[in-house]
Amino acid sequence: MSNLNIYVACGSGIATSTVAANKIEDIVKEIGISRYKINKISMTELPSVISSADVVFTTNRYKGEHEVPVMSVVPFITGIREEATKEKVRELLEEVMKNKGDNK
Amino acid sequence: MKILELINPNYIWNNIDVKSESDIFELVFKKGFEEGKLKETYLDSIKKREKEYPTGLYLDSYSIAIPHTDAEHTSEEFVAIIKPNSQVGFMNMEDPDEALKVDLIFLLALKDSDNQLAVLQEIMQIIQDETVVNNILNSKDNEDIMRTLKEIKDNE
Repeated sequence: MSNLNIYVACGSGIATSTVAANKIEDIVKEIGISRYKINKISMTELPSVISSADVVFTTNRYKGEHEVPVMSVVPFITGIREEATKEKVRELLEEVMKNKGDNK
Repeated sequence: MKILELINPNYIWNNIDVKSESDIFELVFKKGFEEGKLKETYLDSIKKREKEYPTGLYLDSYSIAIPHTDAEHTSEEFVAIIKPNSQVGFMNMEDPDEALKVDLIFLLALKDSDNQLAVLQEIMQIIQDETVVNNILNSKDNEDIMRTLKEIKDNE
């Protein structure tokens, strides 16, 4: 079973995605996913790699077409509704893992 | 806080008359370029980036913007603080069609360095702290702002 391939995107690929990726990694570890790769990326690079992703988190709205789940995680930056967002990220990751086949 | 190493009173604009995000970018660019911290390409790059991927953040009692662009346009990293006399329009990061009236701007001229995560986390800690933000918004001069920032305790 391959690694869970997670992309975290923001405008520059280095600022808000860095903060968001750090929080997402905590959740990934918390739910016991051991084989994963978190890639930080810019929104402009996203369309060219999105087909290889299992799940994508962004701090900007992604307008492109996509078949993989994409979720906005701005609350990780503002702290507003952060707990609710963590819960949603957890649920989404668990669902993605289930669809991928359990690779814990 | 690590961020203090990146904040310089010469890059704080307190109670300044600016009408738009462009005014702010031009102001910071002029100084940063003159002093060799920003490359010539910085201004166009940050304007374009803000238009495509806005950085306005809505918090409960105020709005803040954290404009920034690719590391390649910065020669020497710094964080500029701009406190406009009246709110400035920025679009919302979460919803690029929604305009926010922003009270305070942290312009991040960062390179992709090792302490970047720590610096960014500190920025998030600052903007989420109502007391700190209100102190900054009520400061009389740059030294006041520096004092507020120096008083912040590290999270860890």
